[in-house]
Amino acid sequence: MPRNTSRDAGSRFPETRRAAREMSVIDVLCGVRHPRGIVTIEQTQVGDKAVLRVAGRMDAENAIQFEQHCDSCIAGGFTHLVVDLGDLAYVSSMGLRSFVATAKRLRDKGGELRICRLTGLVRQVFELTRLDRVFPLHDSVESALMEG
Amino acid sequence: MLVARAESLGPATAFVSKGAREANLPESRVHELELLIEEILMNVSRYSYPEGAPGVVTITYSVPAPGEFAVEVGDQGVAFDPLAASPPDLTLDLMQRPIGGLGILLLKSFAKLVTYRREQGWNRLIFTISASS
Repeated sequence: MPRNTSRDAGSRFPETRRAAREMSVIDVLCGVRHPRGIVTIEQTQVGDKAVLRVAGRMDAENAIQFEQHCDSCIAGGFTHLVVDLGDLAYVSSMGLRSFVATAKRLRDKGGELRICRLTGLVRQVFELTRLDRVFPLHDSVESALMEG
Repeated sequence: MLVARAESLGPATAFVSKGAREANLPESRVHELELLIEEILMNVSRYSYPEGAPGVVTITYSVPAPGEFAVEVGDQGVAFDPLAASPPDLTLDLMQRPIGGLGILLLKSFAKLVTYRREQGWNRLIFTISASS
């Protein structure tokens, strides 16, 4: 185990049992990029609804992409969006912000954001934040399209 | 040691995730850990440091006991206890729900133990994640 090389003002992790490592400054200074993953959005249209298949990871760095994509859908006249999250592996609170903000904008226009195929950690996050009770949730895209 | 902004999420997450995997944390726990790191770092960048001023964040981890993984995030920003914030009202309907305020809720939900202290000009947030759910 590496020796403790803490240089900060006094972390309380006991020295004797500290299997600690500190963030390497080298990688940050040299601009080494540690890929966190990306979010991809594929859009199709079914009737008057846009279906967005969102895959990858939605975090603080890229959640804005989703929100901007939805804004372009709204600007293009869509008021009903179906979002397929079956291949989304990760969502943070910044991602949740994007869903809530978009849903509000659609509701203001008399429309709706429907979410389908929540799974894994993403489903857990929606459930912990009770957003699974705020959005109409569906097990499939087909179900989401058929509702109302 | 990092700068507290979104661009640091990648290095921060990679650093902690590597340690968690070396400590044999299940992959599902590693993903939860990544989420908590993001939530904490974004809170630091948003509340601890003044607008536009990059601030330093330190991240340290350890294995306090078999099956447990502890992370300490330190910053030198203004005193800010994220645990003192009122919990969001999760009963509100969509139009009444605020856009944000969910990061700390997620931290408290996924972490086994979360503590905060302020000392010698540092905010220190420590949380522990357990290998078992």
